[in-house]
Amino acid sequence: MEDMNIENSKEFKEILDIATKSTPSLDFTNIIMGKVKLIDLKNAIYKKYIKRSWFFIVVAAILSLKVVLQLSYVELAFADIVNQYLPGASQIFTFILLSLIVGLFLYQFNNLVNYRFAEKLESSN
Amino acid sequence: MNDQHYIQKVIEGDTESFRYLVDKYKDKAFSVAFSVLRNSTFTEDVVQDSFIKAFTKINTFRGDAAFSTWLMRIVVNESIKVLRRKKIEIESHNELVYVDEMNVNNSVDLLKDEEQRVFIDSTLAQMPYREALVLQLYYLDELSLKEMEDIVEIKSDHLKVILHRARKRFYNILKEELQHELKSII
Repeated sequence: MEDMNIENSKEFKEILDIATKSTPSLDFTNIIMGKVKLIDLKNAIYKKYIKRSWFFIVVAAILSLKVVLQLSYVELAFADIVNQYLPGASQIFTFILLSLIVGLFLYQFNNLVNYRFAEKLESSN
Repeated sequence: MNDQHYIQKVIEGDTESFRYLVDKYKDKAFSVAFSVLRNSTFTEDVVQDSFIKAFTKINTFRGDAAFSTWLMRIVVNESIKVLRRKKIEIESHNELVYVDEMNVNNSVDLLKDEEQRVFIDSTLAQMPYREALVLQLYYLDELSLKEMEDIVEIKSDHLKVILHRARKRFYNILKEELQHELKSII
């Protein structure tokens, strides 16, 4: 053993070797592999959800362009359809539609944050 | 095939390759954790947690040191964490005196196997965890001081001091234990 001058190392090792040894249970490897596979599965699910959240966020963002870019023909088409059934109600329906878009955006953003957090928590445990 | 091959496969998503690493290092991980904790139940939990941690962090393993060294560092850190949480750390503050090691060794030789084990276990259980750990790593696992330095994160000069003190303390406690036994027999 390197640069240590401890006499009777062999004898000391023999004495230490007498101590009780803790040995893994027979199915120890299987227990670990079970947990490892579970972590793997959870990570796959988180990845899938994160991907899905991103998809909806993009959809919500594209729909929001209606407001930002003032795509009036969309609004006109929408107003035409609504006014056919409920005359004068198009403004209220536009407001509800925008609320739904914002709601979808916030909901999916919240999901994204949650899944990311869960994924991080999983890997830090 | 070496460890690096299996590590790479695990990083690439082949979870099953981790089995090879668990099988190869579980015994060593158990003896290291047990030398710190001296408790089989805690040891099993700590080693499980350590392997899980190694799996989740395997992409941070850079390969500067051997995988076993990296894993053992995780095992030691997890063991110390549990030790602190459970407050089962035993610090011995007895003054260390010179003990004739040969005499103690001869006394141990006179005992039956089972009695020997009881005395050695009791002695190790009374030692500070850090000293018991370095004895395990140096004498039983036969690691070099460099490898130990990486695992316990203590400089080799300091490790030599701890080793010397640990061995001295071991014989001090063992001698005391044997004297108690002799008194009780007389």
